[in-house]
Order: sequence, then structure tokens, then C-alpha cells
Amino acid sequence: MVEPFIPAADEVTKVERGYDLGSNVYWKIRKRHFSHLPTTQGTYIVTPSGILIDNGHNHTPNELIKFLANGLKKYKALSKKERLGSPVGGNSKTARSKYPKDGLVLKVTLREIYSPRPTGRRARGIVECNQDFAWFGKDEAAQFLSATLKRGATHDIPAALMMRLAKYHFLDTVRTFCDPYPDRCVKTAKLTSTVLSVSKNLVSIRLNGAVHSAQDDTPRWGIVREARIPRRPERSFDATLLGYATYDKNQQKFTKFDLVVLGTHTGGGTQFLAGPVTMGIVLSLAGESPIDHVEPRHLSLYGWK
Amino acid sequence: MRCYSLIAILFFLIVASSALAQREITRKTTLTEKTYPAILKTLQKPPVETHWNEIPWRPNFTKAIGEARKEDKPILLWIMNGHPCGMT
Repeated sequence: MVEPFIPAADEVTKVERGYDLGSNVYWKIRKRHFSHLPTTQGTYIVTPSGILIDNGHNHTPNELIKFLANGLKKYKALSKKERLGSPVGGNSKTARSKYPKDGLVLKVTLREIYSPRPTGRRARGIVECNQDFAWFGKDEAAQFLSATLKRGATHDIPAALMMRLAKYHFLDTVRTFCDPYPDRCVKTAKLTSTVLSVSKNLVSIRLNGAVHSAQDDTPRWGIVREARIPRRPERSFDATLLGYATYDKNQQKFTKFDLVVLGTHTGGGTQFLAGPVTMGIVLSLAGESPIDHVEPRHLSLYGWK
Repeated sequence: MRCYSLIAILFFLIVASSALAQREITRKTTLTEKTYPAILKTLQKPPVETHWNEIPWRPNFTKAIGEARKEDKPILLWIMNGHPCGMT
């Protein structure tokens, strides 16, 4: 059912604020059909010319089947000019990605584990998992390794890289609260790599560490203002880090990388449980498909030029 | 028919994935070398969650428009606050 379509996923804010072809098509549709709505999150079927065929948000499987089948039928009923015409302008080129092809690209999977799982009103807002990507350039990736690649050698990962993880990636994004921690709120962010073995080309390391972040003055409407859900001022995350990785000296890149972060999270939205809640995060090598090249949510705060 | 299921699963995957994690990790679980393999396995995405990844989403609407025009296909657009294939 998907084959007759070009499936596209994108971010509302990025599309809203852009000036390229996608943004122009989006605004054409929004002004005509959804000017009264505060958010346009959802799924849409549109023509390349920018005609809205159908839209939806919550679907049961049967509704989805109908949504796609009807959308395709309506598309085919349009003339070629209607389907493919170009009624809106805009640059079809997109901004150059900062994807660190030769660096370290990690998929970040986050889970909140409620034990026992709340029910009824207390379960409001519970989603329980989210994901993101964490990027490190080639030189940054090398900083996960000791300069001396001998068995038993230890090395503290530089504070700047640990602050990136603590501030932008070890967050309660599970319940939409992706506000970065300010520097002053990261109390501990430590990770040590220990060389476990060295073969001809491969270096195996273990990663051990801890993170503790705490804030008592989180702005009510958050630091990231798109998510207009009131926050509690207090939030914290206290966790242990453990992982294993393999670095290929010939390729000058990690060929295996798994880092587990497990701890306790408190705080969040005023309407939701304040915790404490167990939160687990796994950072593993991302794949090579286009959706594995999606930018980290807070890439703009990395300080990359 | 398989693709029908993939699309349907897309909208339920986030909620559906928690049961496994719930079973194997509790508040008392600590991360040690002994517990690491089980915790890693539990926290990584279970198979049910991978189905939406099987849909070849183009992560950029502008690029998708160009491709759709070339192939004369409608665009199935999924937009969220935060990238749907990243952090929403």
C-alpha cells in the first residue's frame, strides 16, 4: 500500500520556518485548509503540486487502509497538470547536512519504566519511549579512546563531549520534555574508557561512568518552547553508565558501540507523574538509511560551525 | 497486505513497546556488568517497534516533492513537533 506513495517525514517547526519548496507547499496547504489550527502535526496525502488530498491524525488500521486507498484514488482522478504542476515557488535545494560521515553517529533510544505502571488519571501523558541521534565528528569520536592503546589503559572522555550527552541527550524526552539542561545543572558527567584488548586492527574498550543533572528553576513553559506543556520547576536525572565498544584502527571508526544509561528521573510536566521513574537510555551505532541521518534534536546547540 | 500492517503499526509502536521493558527492569535494578546484557537487550527496540522503520521515509519534505514529481506519485507526509524519525 505504501509503494504508490513517496513517504516523507519531517518536522513541523523546520517546515514552518523554512523558505524552500517544502515550506512553500506546506504554507499553501496550511493557509487554505488549517489556518485556524494551533498545530498541524499529523499525516497528509498531498500532490507534488501542493494540492491537499486528505489528512488525518489518529487512525485505526482500517481507517488507515481507507485513508491510503482513497487518497490514491483521488490522486489518480486529478489531471497531470493538477498533480505535477508547480503553483508555488521555492528553492528545491536543501541545506547541507552536517552529518558526520566519518565520525560517530549514535541512535539514542530512551525508555521510562514504570513499576508498577500507573493506571487511570495517573497514566496521563505516559508514552514511555522516544529516540534521537547523537553525533560526534571524527576527531571527537577519537576522544573516546585513550592515547595509549594498550590493554588496561584508561582515559577520561573530555568534559565537553560528556556535557553534550548530559545536556542534550540524557533528558526526559519521553514525555516531550526535551529541554536541555543548562551547564550549571550538570553536577556530574563522567565517563572513563578502559582498553580491554588490542588485536592487530581492533581495540575493544569498556565505558564506565555516571551522570547527575538537577534543576530547580525549569521555566514553566520550558526552554524548548514548541512543546507548550507546563513543566514543574524541579527535575533531575541520576544514572550509571556502562558500555562496550570496538574501534577499527584501519577504518579509524567505531565498528561497535553500545552505551547503556540507567537511572532515576524525577520531575516533568505538572499534569504528569513527578516520579521518581526509572529511565533507561541506550546509545548504539546508527544505520545507514536516510532516516538514520536525521539530525539530533539539539544539533544547533552543539556549537558546530 | 503486509504494507497495510506496517503503516498501521506506525501509529501504535511507541506505546506498544513498553511491556518488555516493564517486565525486566524495576526500580531496584542496578546497572552492573552482570545485568548489562539483559538491560541492553531490554532497552533496545523490540521487533514490533522496527516495522515503521521498514517504510522508506524520506526525511526531508522538499526532497520528497522532487522525487514525487519525477515519479508522478502522491506524497504521504508525516509531520510532527520534532522529527518523526528522530526525537518527537
